[in-house]
Amino acid sequence: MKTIIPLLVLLFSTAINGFAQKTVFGILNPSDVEMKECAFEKDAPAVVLFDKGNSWFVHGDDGFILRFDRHIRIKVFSEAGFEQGEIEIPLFHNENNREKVKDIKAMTFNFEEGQLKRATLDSKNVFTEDINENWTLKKFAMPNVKEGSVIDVTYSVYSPFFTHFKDWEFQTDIPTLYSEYKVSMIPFYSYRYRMQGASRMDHFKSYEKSGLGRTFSGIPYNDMVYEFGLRNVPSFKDESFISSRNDYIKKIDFQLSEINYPSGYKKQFMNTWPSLAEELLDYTDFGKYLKKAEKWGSKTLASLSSKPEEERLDTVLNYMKETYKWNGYYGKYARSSFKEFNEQLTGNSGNINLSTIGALRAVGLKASPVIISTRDNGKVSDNFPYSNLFNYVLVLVEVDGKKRLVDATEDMCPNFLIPSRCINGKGFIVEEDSEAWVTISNSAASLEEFNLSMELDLEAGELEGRCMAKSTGYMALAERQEYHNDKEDFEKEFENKGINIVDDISVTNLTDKTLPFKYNFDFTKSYDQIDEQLIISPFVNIAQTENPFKQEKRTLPIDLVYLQGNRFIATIKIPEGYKVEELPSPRKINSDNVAFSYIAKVTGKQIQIVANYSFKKRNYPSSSYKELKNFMNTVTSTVNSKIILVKEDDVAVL
Amino acid sequence: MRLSLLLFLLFVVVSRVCAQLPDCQVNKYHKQVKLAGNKLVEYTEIELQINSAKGTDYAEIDIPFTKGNNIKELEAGIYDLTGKKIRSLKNKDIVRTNMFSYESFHSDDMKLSFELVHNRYPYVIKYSYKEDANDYLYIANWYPRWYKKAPVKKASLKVELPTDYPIRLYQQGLDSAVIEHLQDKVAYNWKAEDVEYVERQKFGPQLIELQSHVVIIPESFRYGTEGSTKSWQDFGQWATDLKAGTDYLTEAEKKKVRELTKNCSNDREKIDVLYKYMQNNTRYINVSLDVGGLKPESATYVCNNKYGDCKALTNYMYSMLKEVGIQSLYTMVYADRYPVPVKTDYPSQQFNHVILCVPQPNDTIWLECTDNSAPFNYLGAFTQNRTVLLIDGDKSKLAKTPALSVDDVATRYSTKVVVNEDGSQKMTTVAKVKGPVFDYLKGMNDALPQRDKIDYLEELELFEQADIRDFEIKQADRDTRYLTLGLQANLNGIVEPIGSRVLIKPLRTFYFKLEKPEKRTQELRFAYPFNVCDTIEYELPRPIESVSGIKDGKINSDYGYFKCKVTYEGNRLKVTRHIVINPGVYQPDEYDALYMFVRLCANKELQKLMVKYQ
Repeated sequence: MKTIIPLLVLLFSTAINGFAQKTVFGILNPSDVEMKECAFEKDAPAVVLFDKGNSWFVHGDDGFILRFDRHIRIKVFSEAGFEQGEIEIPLFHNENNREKVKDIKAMTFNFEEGQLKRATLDSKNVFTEDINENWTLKKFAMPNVKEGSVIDVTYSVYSPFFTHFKDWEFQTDIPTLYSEYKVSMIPFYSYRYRMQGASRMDHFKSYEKSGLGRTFSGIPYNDMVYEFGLRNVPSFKDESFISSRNDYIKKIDFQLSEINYPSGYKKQFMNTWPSLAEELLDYTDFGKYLKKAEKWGSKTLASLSSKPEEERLDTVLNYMKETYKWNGYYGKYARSSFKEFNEQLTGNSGNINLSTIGALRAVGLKASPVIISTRDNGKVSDNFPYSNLFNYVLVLVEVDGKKRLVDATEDMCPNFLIPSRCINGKGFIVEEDSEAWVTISNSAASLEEFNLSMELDLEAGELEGRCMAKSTGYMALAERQEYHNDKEDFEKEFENKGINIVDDISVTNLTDKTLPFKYNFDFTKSYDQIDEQLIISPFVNIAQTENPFKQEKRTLPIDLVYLQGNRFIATIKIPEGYKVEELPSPRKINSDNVAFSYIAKVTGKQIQIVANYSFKKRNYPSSSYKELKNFMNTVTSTVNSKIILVKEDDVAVL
Repeated sequence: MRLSLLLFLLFVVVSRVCAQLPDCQVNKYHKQVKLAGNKLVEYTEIELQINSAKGTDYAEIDIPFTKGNNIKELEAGIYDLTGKKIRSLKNKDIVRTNMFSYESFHSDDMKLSFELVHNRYPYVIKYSYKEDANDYLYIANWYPRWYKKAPVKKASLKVELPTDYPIRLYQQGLDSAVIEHLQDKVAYNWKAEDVEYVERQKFGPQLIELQSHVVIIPESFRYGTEGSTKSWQDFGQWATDLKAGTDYLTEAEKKKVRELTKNCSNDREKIDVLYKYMQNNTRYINVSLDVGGLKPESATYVCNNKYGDCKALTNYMYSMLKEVGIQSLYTMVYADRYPVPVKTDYPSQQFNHVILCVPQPNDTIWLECTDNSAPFNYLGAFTQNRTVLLIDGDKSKLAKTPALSVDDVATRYSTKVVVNEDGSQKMTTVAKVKGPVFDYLKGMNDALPQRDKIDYLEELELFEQADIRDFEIKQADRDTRYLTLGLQANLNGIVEPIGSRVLIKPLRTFYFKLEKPEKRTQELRFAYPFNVCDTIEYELPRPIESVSGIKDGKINSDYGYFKCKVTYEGNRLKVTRHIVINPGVYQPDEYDALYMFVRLCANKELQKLMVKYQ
């Protein structure tokens, strides 16, 4: 085996330096074939040997076209890495124009029987799929992928969309040995870039391209080249309770800032926050849409103008929520014209919230759009004034001198809350000549309380009781939605815990979203009897039985979105002739992060147990993870503690 | 005008009577099927009534179709209850996309999507469209009720066929068709009102078997090629014709195959060598285009790409065996742990998977060709014990796959739980795993990245109360039909101190919750046996004085077997449980006895233990 290697070297490119090397499609390095595992992530099923992107401007029939060349080479170690052999190339299009992929070349290499064997992708096996109105997918499965395969793929994407300059992710779900993005800039288009997740580059170079320059419209110019490279990038691991993968992945984003036309005219693309605001306010599906909505509002809702401000806001929000249905799409721009929206009564978040702003203005309230990035879209930064980082619009309204953030997309959401998907850092207030931000948060804690009163039916071996539940804030929102969506499923959740609901769950304040969500039901639940000992679970499994913090280690911060508190009260009547044999002891925890208290006591013929636990912060650093995990361990084991009742005359025997 | 007023009045009355309207109801579902030359022309007309904001989910409409059979003459609009049109759907609001599926890498299943939303309830959505098919296996496969929560008021199916056109007809839950004889045509009319949705009971028939439906199979048809459904033999002939010419290996592959088998001493060895060669060198990728839903990609395609779907890989294995002179049979099967049984009286396409049957003088070998971790000649719970169709030209016939026996599924857990003075509990389990759990776990080591393995293991729900710290799966080699699972975990609340006692909850309980006998209406199918033995040894921090709760016991029945034994000494407590449930199909009249057995076992499995310390 060993003797073959030197021979192989001759077949391969001689550059073995590994780094900033020239890579040629179809020519492997000996190390590509020999590698058995990723040195810094030994259990990885595959590794990206290199991933190189190159974006540059080419002359098209009519001005420039953006060209993006990619060359990626992957080594597969085990079956779990076979899925790396399924390649997808997303392509953007709108009504007038589309990105096109060309020159797809792909090959799989296997070293078998002393030979390097190659299998070339057959273009027949490249498929196109329509994903939605704006995206199609080119996809193909690489031939002959097995353990030890090297997959080599190149392709070019031609794009007429200068505002969609390809961003670059250095990190993926398998480790990457080397990832490099090269961009060649020309004087006619200016971009800004933003790095995330890496404090410095392992490779960075900028230089003017040497050789003969190019000319465009008679103007000679040279390409300005930038190279960004990272080595040995670990795989990205998603963890629960984080805001978004987008916030943590190592990547570089590009934003168009200026087009310099050969004529000397310059078109700015949101270089400053005030100019961004101005652009938005001038845009058909944003500023102009607002005006149309306001006009409509003054016709439809004019009668409200004499009402108190608070009432005006509530009426408008309720009207919007009842009349229009959110179609589930995000967007800061309106997705359809106001006329269409009003005809179809459905639209994206832009349609609904921009219309709401118009309506609020029409009834004499001061209202402004606030563009934000939702939790799954990642955080925005105030030194990066680009509108495409924002994917949602909220409403900032002034009522009785106080400013409030509101949203009209969720029918079930009370007017004083915004959906939790929006709680993500801060939002930019879109007003003329302004550069103001608003922090999106909700300081009110969301609470949930269960109050149980029970007695024992000794003959049936059951607890019989009544449960009164109450929730506020986001917890109320979640429960309302659950109940509204499926009453049976809502009941089933209790039934799954062994609680048998007698009759129906009766609900109050289902529609009055400003009040806590309340529901009551009578139930029976069997208890354990072992010989003469009655074993009772006072919170009948309603309290959390499992620790939600399952991971052993944590590397990313923990984001709980809102403050949360839980309260459980149980009152149990001791049956005639019985006494309490065992009662759980009290517990108390109080730190900067969390609080817990648990008290069980017997008063006359009654046992009363009260448990409270709460999270004092919305966000915790990863270093607090252990504390949270231990805390929930204590909470779950304590709230699920049992009580034993025995016959009074049996005590002596035990 | 008068009519609409009448309707309005009627509505008022009706809405008072049933105050609780469903969020959405299907007022009308009409389907009309005609033969036009070689084409099957299908016309569909649907009228949905949306009664509440929640019902608008139903106003997001998808019309599935296959590329090539385009949807024509789609018309849709919103109406009020009097039938007045509010607005029509615009062409630009129709989105055409590929259907998303977890099952295939790429397919030509497409859909048209649109939504028709209005804000005054109730409102009515009407839509209709035509679809032409050149190739078809069914004239109709009609289910009048398809949403669980949206009742269907009126449904109808009209099928117009030439007088001399022979069909096979199967129908269930519906009145027989009214037949009209027209000039040279026959029209079948089915009508149904308030069609019931039947829920599946535990271990009952599949949903698709339970709902009312009509299936019309043409006696001769064209799907890829001409075929007949007169007999399974004929149908098998069609499948043979469809795959004809797909069994050519590339020259290089032929050479490889001969090379691999040249030292084999018998056929069985050759089959084994080639099967392993295929497992080691191919992977499952499902691309389904045109008649590709049923016609396998050629063996050449697999030679070149080293991937394929079940049909392609099976056909490739078939072709390799052919190359070395071994005859095998491409076999169509309905794969599922709980399969829909083949209606043997209705030869037709009732299958969703393909395996390979290799008849041998003394014993038939069965090969699953899409599973790189399957032992040689092993069919798991997914394909065992059912009727399959062996494709062999005019010798095609139905056959049965071998059944998993009670021993084939015997899984033994041996567990030690150490309870410390501070209440913490550590568990070490060693298990010998067979049957469905083996099927589930066997490929895991190779197929999953390390970080996903614990999640995958937890999906089994065998370790609900455990935080798995470490585990190991060992299988002597790929042909071993069991594996060893070693597992270490911290337990949560399994052993719960209550004063001077501890309450011990059962670990890894094995039981079923079945409907009470008075509610059971459907037959019950245990498709394969269950056989679980569990020995748990607890090491407690203090010496035991007495144990209450679980007692030794034994239940014997025709349906299975349960045994339990408890012993203790010093601070050690040992509990052994063993449960066996036989496979079988039981009719409701036999259900009482079965239910009693399953319930008794469940009670025993779930029994808690109380230990009093000295």
